[in-house]
Amino acid sequence: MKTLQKALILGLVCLCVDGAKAQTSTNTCATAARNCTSATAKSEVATFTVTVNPNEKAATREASAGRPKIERVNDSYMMALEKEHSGTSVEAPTGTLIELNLPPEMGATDFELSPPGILVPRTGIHHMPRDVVGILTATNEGTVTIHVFGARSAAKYAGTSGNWSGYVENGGPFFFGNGGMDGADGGERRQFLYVGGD
Amino acid sequence: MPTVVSDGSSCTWVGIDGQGANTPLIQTGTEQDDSGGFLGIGEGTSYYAWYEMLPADQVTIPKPVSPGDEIIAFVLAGGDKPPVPNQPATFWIYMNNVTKNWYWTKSFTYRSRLNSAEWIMERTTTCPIDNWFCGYATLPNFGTVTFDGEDYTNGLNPVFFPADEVFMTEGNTTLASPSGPDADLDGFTVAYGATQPGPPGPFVVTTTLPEAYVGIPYSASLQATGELSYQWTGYGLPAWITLNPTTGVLSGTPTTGGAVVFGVEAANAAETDETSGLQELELTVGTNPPPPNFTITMTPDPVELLKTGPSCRNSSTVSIVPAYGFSGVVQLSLSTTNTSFAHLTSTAITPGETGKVVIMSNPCPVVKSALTVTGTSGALTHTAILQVVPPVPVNCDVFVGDAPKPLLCR
Repeated sequence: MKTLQKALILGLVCLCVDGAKAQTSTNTCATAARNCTSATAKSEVATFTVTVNPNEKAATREASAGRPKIERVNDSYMMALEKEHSGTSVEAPTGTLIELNLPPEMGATDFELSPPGILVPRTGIHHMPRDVVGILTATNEGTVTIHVFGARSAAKYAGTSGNWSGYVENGGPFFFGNGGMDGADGGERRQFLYVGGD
Repeated sequence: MPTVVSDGSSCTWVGIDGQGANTPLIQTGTEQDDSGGFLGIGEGTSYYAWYEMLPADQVTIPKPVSPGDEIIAFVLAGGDKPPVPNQPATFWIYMNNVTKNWYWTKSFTYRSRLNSAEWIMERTTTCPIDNWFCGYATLPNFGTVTFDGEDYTNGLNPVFFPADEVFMTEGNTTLASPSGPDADLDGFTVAYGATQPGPPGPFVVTTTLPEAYVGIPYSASLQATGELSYQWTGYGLPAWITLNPTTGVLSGTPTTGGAVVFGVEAANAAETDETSGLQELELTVGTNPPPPNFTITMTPDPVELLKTGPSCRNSSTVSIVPAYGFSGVVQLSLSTTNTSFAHLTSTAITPGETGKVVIMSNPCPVVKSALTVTGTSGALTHTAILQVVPPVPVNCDVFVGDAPKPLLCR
């Protein structure tokens, strides 16, 4: 039962599908949907232009002008579009996964693709890395603009995220012990929790 | 597992990696969603367990979960040899629903950077089938959720510091806030909204102890917060001290003078692996005790008068608390602005005995008053003041039909 921040046109009234907050707007319902559940008005916080090149096979590559770094992540090849890429044009081989990874002070919350069909977002519910607002697959040849919307923060604060709250331990090894499971000789890394609801 | 009470989509999970660009992320947890639906369609809540190994999609764990369930989950990298960053390694995902008494585990081969570990409340990312509009879901009101490290095989717990905290924000609005670490630094609470919650208990709040004296019986009560009841443990206690594991009372008679340092720890009596961490205490044992002394206590204080017919009455118990070996007889007297208002049942008591202050008044008073009890033993004189509260007015309108009414209402 995911919440779809989406609106439908009923005359001149746009309604949020999740029922959270009805919007009255003469703008497109996409605009209304963007503001469905926002506590603050949103605006465009980043724009990326991506050209999908069908003649290049997805593979690792180092960063160069217009060609952000591509890294292998398990059986996929991923390219991150970050703050410094906003306002630029980049190139991606077909099959590359593109993540929108923007710092919390940009306040990114959602995005639109224009035109659709070149980059395909992954549908359904996903649990993302820190501050990743979406992952897209470079599917079809063409050039597409990614419009990222959100509410910018007045200041930059350490220890904030657009999608996570909790604790993060960096640097590893976060757990290291002798012994380990089943007679292992070391190198055990693990984590665990109790989730106690109330 | 938290309960969600407003529209949105959220999840609670643990994972490895997920920080930085192009990062892998292996994670497991629970999903908590609430949708208002549209025109009555798709309305309701949804709770399920899942794991996800990015960039692959999430996979539902086919086991039941419900709000309020206690879940143990971990992601383990290793197997029979140390994992190497970015190389294929065996990972185990394990989940145990303590409340519903089921276990689930599965192993995978996965490449991880192994460079971060996290314990997260997340607003999930959603994208409808038509790909029209994608992004973060609204974070539903989940109340609070508590994470706590659990010893699994060899006692390796996380160690959290405030610098590890992550607040969820959108623009200038804080959506969710983690507490500081708990006392043993392996747990915390995340709360919906901008108000940072207090860390989960228990905490030992006793930091100092009253002085003890050689040859004089000693007693001090340890205090803790955060739980309903505690199991106390002492470490390095002097031979003469006994710690009551249930009440947290330290007692005994010192045999030698000097300062002693020891540790105490409070555990949640209902879940003894939740501990306060060691609280170090210093106790000074003096060799020259002050002269014997006493104090007067009255219970209850204040005392509320009860209406019986046209009059009011109640009583409070008087006792003597000895200090530094006091064992004498204390002569009691009572002073009040209205001598017919109260009297003592005993005029002389010793430590261990009790007396009563009996209060009667006709008509019932309508304002607060105070009584003074004075105790004298030799050259020692102490007083205690008892607050007297008039009866709470009875609303006779609530007694209807054949329900018995208080005398006041007849």
